[in-house]
Amino acid sequence: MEQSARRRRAAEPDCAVIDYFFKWTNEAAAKADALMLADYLNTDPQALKQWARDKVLPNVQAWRPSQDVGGVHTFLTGWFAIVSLNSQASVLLNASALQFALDRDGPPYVIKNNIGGVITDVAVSPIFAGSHYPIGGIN
Amino acid sequence: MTVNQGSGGTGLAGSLSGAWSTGLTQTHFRFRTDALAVDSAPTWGAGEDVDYYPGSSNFRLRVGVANAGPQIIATGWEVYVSKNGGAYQAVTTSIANGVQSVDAGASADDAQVLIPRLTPFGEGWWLSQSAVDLWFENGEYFEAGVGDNVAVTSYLSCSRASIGYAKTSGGTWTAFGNNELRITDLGLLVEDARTNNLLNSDAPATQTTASLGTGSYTLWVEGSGSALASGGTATITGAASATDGSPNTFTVTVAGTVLVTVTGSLTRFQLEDGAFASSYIPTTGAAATRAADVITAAATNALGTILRGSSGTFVHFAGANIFAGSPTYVAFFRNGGASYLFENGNTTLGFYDDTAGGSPTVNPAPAAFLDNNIKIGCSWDGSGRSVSAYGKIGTSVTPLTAADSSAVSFFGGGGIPAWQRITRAAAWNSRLADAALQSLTAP
Repeated sequence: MEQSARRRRAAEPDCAVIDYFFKWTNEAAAKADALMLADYLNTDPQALKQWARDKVLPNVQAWRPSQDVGGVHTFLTGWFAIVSLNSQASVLLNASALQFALDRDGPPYVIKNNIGGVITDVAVSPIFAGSHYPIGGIN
Repeated sequence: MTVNQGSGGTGLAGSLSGAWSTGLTQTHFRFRTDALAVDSAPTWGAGEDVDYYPGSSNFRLRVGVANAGPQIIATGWEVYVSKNGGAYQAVTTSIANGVQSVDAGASADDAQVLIPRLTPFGEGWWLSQSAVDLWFENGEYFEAGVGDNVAVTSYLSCSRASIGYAKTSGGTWTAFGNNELRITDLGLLVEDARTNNLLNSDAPATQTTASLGTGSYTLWVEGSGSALASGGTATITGAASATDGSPNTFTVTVAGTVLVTVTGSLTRFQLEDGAFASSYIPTTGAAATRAADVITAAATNALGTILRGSSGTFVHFAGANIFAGSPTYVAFFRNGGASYLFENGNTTLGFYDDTAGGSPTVNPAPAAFLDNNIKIGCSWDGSGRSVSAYGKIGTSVTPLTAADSSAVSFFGGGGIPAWQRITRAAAWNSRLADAALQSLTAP
């Protein structure tokens, strides 16, 4: 048997990826919610030890490009994080800290929007490698 | 003089065909012939194995087994030679790892080509009596009773909310989609999350980063030029020019922006948070994060069933510097974290169980955790458990806590960063004798 036939690379299904953009007052508030949303954000159901870094991107900065002055951003107040899952999770979609949820594989990109028209004037950094949202300010 | 390179089953193609049928590839062995002459610069690989030197009173085969796994090294091998069109005759009965010479006798007739043939004995490429053998670097996956051509995704899955890249042995970056196991001919790459803070990574240009927090950062580049970090509003120490193959790690002592100045021609650059370089993270208009790889065996698949069982053995081979994130859970991680194989400080490998206690450890020489052929393993049953690295063994008479129904995490877990390039992992559904475990993990 030839090597090419023997060699098997992982063949994960290319599922749609939903990015949930959250805003908390600060990281402590985020961690309080993380205990409630442990299955999605946390690595330990008993006490938050670490963010689940395979699907949580903490410490994201957000700004409105329309407010840039000379290319300098004015970052929005709050503590931001992105949670990415390959499914729509109602517990996240209904969380009070959720700002909006986007489907990387859109259109349509917007799954849920709790911030209204401003969504086209919001940029965030960093983002998950490979994600892309052509809806205005989102990178 | 006629040098007939043969045809069909007796020529080079036949020789290679024989090799394929055993599941071996040229990465496992290579050989050439010479006529008692010293070849100061042999060029290994296909072609030289059919050289023929007519009229020699004797000729000598030089045979090497390189990059072979324990099964191949431990297996009895024979070299057969066909001279003058005759039947193959064994000229040796064993070949050790490495290169050695084999006298093959006289041959005065130059009408035939001499074809060395390697014939393995034993079950196949998989480790003897293993139930599951995942040979990532060779892309070969085995399950007893199922076959040696199964899909790796039948055993392992990956959670990673971003794309990722991994290098091949040829130095090429290969792209992998979200949640895809990053397997190349160098093995399975498992990394923690990292962020490339430079924009337009594939068109390097001088730029100022966003504000970076305090901590270690590593700047690496590809191309003939260089890049140098300097403080913008940040205060940094340890900055030096980064060139291809020579990354620079510096420390941000006061948070702020960092200026990265590009000199000459670069094709790629990356400034990531961490004290060593990781895999390529492409960026365009924003900094981008490669999410962590979390590798899991479902509780009910063949591998998960073994590792959750009351008795079993697991070995894990890896490439260089897998413990860069030390301490780390190296493998495996059952009961939601109660039982795990743990490395600490590049000196200690332990097979811990938080509930049962009585955890055995082994302390091989530090080189064991830093060389390019790391072999570690563990075994357990009702009479206790063992851990082994570099051929050393540690044992305990305390059995593991019975497994719960949760999936088994691999190569990291519990929030401990994973930095590993696993070349092979295999499991047995019983506890192997300590001597066998030591043999499997011997350097």
